[in-house]
Amino acid sequence: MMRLMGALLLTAGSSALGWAAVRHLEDRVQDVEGVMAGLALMERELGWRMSPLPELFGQAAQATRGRPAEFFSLCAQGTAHLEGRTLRSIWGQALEIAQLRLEEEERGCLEQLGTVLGRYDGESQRQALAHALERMEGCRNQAREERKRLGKVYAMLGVAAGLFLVIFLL
Amino acid sequence: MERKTAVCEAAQVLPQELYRAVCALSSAQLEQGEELRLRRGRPPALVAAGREWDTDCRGVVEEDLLQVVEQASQASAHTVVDQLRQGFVTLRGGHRIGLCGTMARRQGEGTTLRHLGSIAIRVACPVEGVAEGVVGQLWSGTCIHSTLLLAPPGAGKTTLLRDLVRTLSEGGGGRRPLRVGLADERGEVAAMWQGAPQFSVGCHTDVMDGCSKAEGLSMLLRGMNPQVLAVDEITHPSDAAALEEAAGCGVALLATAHGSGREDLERRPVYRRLLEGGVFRRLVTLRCQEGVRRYQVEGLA
Repeated sequence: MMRLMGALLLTAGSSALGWAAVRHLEDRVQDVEGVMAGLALMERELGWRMSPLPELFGQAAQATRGRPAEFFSLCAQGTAHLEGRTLRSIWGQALEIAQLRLEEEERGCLEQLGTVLGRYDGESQRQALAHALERMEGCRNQAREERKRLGKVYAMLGVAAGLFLVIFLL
Repeated sequence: MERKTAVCEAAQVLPQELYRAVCALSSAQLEQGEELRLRRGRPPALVAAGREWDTDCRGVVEEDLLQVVEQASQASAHTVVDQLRQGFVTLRGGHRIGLCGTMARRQGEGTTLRHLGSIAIRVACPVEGVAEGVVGQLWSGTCIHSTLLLAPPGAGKTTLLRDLVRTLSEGGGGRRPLRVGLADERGEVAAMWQGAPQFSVGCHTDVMDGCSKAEGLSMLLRGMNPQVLAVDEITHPSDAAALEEAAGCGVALLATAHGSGREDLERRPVYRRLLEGGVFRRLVTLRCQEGVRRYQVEGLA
């Protein structure tokens, strides 16, 4: 009975690790899509109403969910009360605090965008947003591809590793 | 608002170190503060009682000046590009930042400032009640006359116009409030900040800013059904044409003009046309004598 319980626990634990890896792939896609939705909204609003950034960040926060919403919300709060800080530092802090599940490529793209926003005329910022969206789209496609390709592999590996351990140990 | 509080409020756009240095000046200096001056390589200074008082602080660097613009625009430079092109940015509270430096040009037109050299922050401290002695003379029964305010620069035309707008808009003294449309091209009368006037211009006043006076007057006339239209500094023939159009629609007008007297006005084509057309019925001439402002109201036939 104890052996059976142990075998079950090993398999379940190992499978959970596999599913966690799958979950990370899904979270990355979700966060990239959330950030893209916010940036796309900002691009449209900049092209039309030329709203100030605190307002744009607030709208992006309302239009998104989860960590991307938290990220835009932190930017909105920070820019509404600058208190001597620069947008670049607020943007960087928000990226840290919101803990977006992004890879280096997406993170680098956002960090670069943070150096442009708020410093130039509307059209230049809109172009920077469009460029960032283009890059993010590439990242999203890659993330989706990885989720599709590696998702099943990780799940299967988790279960298989559990079963292997059971056979090996018992 | 006390002037000391206004100075510290205006100084909030400065980097923290400079802000602390300004607020560390003596109360007597802050109470008379009119402007803050930032020049590269020099410590920030407060203009008060006719002279500049340096703060006990390091010299200003260009990064400080850029940060002031970032703070003033709430990290949204695109919202103040037009103002930057004109060389000033309006802050919450009606304070105004004047910018100076090297202009970047594209196709012959100034686009923005490539390098900032200095910044002047004019501390706003609006004066209410200056129109009290004038407003009664602009009425005839239940009718308000179209009025031109005339004075040399710095004599207080804009202050008088703002207070007239407020007084007419709020009514009182047995007079009904009037709907006032204010075409505030340079934002000097109402000092709009994110859609809200920073100076008191009355509860029945609609302000159009960010566009030319002629455009603003025309839009107000078409869209807001004003009883009075107010505009600061008529200088261009298109402004005069817009005023003539409005006068033809039965709207009372309030406008200001640079000039030393009626004769001076009649010499200049833009104003001569308005006077000959009977657009204005009252002329208020402002004079500053020994630090005291005096107003003279006369009828225009």
